[in-house]
Amino acid sequence: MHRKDTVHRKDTVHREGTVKVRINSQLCQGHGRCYDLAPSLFGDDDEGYGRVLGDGIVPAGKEQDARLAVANCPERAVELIEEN
Amino acid sequence: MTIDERFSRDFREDSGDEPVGTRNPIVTGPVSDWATDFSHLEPEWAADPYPIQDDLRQRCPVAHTDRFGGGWLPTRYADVAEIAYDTERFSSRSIIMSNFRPPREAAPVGGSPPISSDPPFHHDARKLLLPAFTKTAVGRQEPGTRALCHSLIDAFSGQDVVDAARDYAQHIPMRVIADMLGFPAEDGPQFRRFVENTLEGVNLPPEERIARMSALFDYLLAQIHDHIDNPREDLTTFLINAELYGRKLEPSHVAGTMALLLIAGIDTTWSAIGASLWHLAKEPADRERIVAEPALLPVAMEEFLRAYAPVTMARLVKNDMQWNGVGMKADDWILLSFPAANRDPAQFDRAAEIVIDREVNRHAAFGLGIHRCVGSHLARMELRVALEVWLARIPAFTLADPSAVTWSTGQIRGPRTLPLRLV
Repeated sequence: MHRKDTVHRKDTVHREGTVKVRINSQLCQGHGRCYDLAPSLFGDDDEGYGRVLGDGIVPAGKEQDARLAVANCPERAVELIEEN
Repeated sequence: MTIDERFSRDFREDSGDEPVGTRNPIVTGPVSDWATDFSHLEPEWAADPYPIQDDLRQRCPVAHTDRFGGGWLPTRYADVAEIAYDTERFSSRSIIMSNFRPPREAAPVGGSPPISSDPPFHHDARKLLLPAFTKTAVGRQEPGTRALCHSLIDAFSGQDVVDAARDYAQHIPMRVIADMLGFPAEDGPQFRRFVENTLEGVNLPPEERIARMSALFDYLLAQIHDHIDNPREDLTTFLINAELYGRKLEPSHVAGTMALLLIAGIDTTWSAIGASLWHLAKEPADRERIVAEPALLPVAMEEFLRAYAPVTMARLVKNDMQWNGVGMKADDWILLSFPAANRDPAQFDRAAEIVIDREVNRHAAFGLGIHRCVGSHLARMELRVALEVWLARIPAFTLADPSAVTWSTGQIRGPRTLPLRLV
């Protein structure tokens, strides 16, 4: 869990299916990095824990925001899932 | 006037028959070897702890000291994270590494819930506070914070050199937390004394330390009485009325949480604002880039939080055990250095450099796990607004005298004297 990491960037995103964001609520402690960095994908609940807005499908143009949210969560609670 | 029996007499008088905790001899003076004799209260650590931490991470990643009755200092991110997550084997019943250990019976509540609490009580005490500290809730403090920052800078008028720690950084969290708790704004100077007594007075003789802590609780009790007589929309009235498990909070819980919010709310953010301005004063390229690209500020701010993380916590080992190769004893301290974790090259690329556009920044400045700083959204708002206003009003500034900068001693580190020349 303590490997170094980078934000994976692709100039063209090849989408066979859809990409979704998910929060593991067992890990989330409400740091709020996801809703700071990607406010169109995440919001907070009334205790400050992160929540996914809508169905979590990442629209075109928001892939980088989603990756930043994943890469900056101190608890590694934010996941990106590719669904074919 | 409402009668609230809980506060009709001093709750501290009720604790006469309970275990009193243990004290150990106070050891001060130069450190012989940081691997075997560390002390975060010595001037060398206050002046620049990073070379010490970097050296320890290489040659003795879990350092030890016999001072403070015995304790350990992990400097690797992985070890700091493991301890932060392990509330089974490490207790939060005291989070200030000192020469006094509260009795084991103090757990799971501790003296200043929820930071001093262990599961399962911790979760319930913390849940009470969370709604007041969400990003949305603290956003209501932003216009007042911004106006305060402007008024502090207005007062610099005519001065070429200002002390950014004394005349700017400290006032911002002091005023914001006083507003949230419903304390008089003019009591700020007293808050500063309370903060210094709690966090920097660790090696004072016990009778002096007890007297100084009493002054803090005398003040809080006076505020509680005033709020019982004159309830208002603030955190003090909220805590007086709050319920847990179907009954009002214990008086020691009300006062302990108020002490936490007051102490932890002030010098932490004061330190973060000061350290950021210190960096920007000595690194003109970073300052000029942020002035030219204000959108970069939130990213740069996270890097300042990583590299100059103000807060180190403590834990107490619950039982004798072997832990990652060292033999820990029950009641040994752990000095839980988030600043050291944040500079571990195994976790961060270019860990020793300040990279203001760092894209991946899983820093631990606000802790990890269940004790994530409850005020982190408030701290981030104050830090952002303080830097936005400063850079908009004073885009060019330098260190007036680098050797005159002083840093606080102990678990919260930030500039306490910071003379800046306004260009």
